[in-house]
Amino acid sequence: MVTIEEKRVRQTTPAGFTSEPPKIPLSEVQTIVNWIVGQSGVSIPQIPLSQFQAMVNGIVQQPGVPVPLANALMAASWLAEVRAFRELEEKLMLEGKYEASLQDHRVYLTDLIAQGETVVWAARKRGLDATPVKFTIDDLDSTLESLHTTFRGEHGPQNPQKTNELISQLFDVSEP
Amino acid sequence: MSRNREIEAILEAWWRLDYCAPSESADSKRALDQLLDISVAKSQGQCTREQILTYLWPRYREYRLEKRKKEQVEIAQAALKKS
Repeated sequence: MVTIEEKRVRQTTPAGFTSEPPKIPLSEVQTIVNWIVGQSGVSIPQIPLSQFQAMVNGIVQQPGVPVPLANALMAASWLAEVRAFRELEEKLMLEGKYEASLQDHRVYLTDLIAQGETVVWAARKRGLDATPVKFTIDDLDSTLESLHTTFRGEHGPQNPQKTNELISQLFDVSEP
Repeated sequence: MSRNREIEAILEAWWRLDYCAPSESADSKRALDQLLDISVAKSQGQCTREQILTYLWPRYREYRLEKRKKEQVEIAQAALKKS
């Protein structure tokens, strides 16, 4: 049985909801990368998400790494994957392949949500070291909630018709 | 598909939540929730934030696509000006 700690450092492979390896803009990981490699002003155009995640996993598995710091690094890794997921959604929409990918989308999103639940739980339970990152537990929670919203919208049950009629009246959709 | 200003504001706030920097997520969610709560209050509690988002989901998908296409056009135009 996989323990919570094992899940914390596990590698995940999206089930088919991939095209080319997503990349992370430097602006999103500069702080983390500089801190990790102990260098400043190093120019790295972009690094593949998988490489960043491997780097993070390698560090958090080291003995003696404080748990709040490990949680911060894992959270950064998860956030990078969330961004990559959003970019991939749009790419598939632009290419007209999104509808055909919805089964994979559901699986990938479910996994991303599960990872996020673990990240938020771990941060609340054992702390989040804000030193190398600029986000808070509330930020993580809000990002997680946005994924839940995406899941409900794309894969969840539809509103009853009566509810939709009520809502359309609230917005008075006849108004331009 | 025509949209009114309230819907447009919600879609824009929703988009900001999905695409903001991680450190701005909590603030972006609060902004979106405030807009949704206006509609929830108008419904006198007959609908929830989640139901409103579910109702608006198809429009949001379209909104995201439009925004991305517009951004691509702007990038292409900027590149043409430089060359």
